[in-house]
Amino acid sequence: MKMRPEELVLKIGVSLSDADDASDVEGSSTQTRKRAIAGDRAAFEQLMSQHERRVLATAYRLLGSLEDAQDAAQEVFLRLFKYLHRFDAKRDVLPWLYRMTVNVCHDFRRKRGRQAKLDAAGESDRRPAFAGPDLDFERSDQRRIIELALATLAEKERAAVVLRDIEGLPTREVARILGSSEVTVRSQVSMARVKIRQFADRFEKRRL
Amino acid sequence: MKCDQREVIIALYVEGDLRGHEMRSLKEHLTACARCREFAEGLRASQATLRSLGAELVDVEALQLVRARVLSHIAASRLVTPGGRVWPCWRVATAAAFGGLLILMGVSRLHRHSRPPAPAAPREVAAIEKPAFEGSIANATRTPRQAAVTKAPVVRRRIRRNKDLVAGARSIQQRQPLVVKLLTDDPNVVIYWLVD
Repeated sequence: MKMRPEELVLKIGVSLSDADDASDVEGSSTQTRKRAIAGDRAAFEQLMSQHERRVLATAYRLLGSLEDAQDAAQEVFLRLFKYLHRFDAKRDVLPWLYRMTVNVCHDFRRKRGRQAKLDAAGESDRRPAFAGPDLDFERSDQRRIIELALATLAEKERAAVVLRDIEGLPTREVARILGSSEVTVRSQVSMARVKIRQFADRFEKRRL
Repeated sequence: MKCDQREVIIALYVEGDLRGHEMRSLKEHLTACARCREFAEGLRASQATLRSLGAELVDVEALQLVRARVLSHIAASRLVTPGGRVWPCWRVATAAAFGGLLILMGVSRLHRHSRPPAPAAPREVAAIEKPAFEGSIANATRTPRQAAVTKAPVVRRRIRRNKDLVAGARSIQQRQPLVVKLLTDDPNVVIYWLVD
């Protein structure tokens, strides 16, 4: 069976998703989407539980605050519920969710102005929302530095690097989600990587 | 190309995003340049940490809170019809407002029909036909006002009575005297008659 490039990108995006998402992408997920589109509340809850981790994590990386990320994730799923009847049940909703998450986070940041950046860079005593398993102090410290570096990036660079490097989406899909070209995304991602490295270097030198 | 300018290309190289000539050229440079090699190593380390952020576990409580808020918001703001169709709250509000308007109109109409009819105002209590003047040259040469003063016209009054007039007269009888307006063919002569 031949696949269009667009479908191939979607499949790749899904295969890079959670393992449970990948396993039932053609079967039960399609059925779940169909039932959710038909108005089944339980199916919508199931759809939400499949993708809520990715939406919340992406929003947290983009906004730098768990409370704001929760508000953004709530808004994303409310929009999903509102526009669910327009969806094609055969297509995955994850790319749409990513795009909506980026848009909602953009609105949040615009409303708050620079406050988001200052919060993310300045607060060090915030309760950790995410936890890696069995991390030693050095690795968790490196993560903290990278998180601080992320907070210093420009909004578009940050969105590109979060989707490409943290969420692991291919460049082509990131370009579709952000509504830009692959060349632009490559440029944004490479610039973001360099800035993160330079920030980490400066941070280490200051600490020494 | 200076080493500073190569940093962006190295950032693509460490993640396998370079192809063809660019990659071969950079590889050759890295074998010769210790500074760029060091930068590439640092980038690999920071990229590994960056990727590891994606494997972090999300706080379950945070997820549950989001889910609960979404579901409660949906339940509070929307109604689900038996067929599974969802009615947005603005449609429900519009339908409710329209229904309320219809009920108000119905109640006001009922109230209007149940009230007794208001008495019609007496438009004309008495009409005076053309007076039968005895034609005389003297009267004809006088002005109408002089004629009205010097000689009262002989009028034959005919009062039109109807039910409305009687009802109206009775209803206002207790409050004020009945006013009878007598008209003549002379527009300057109007006679008011107050009846207790």
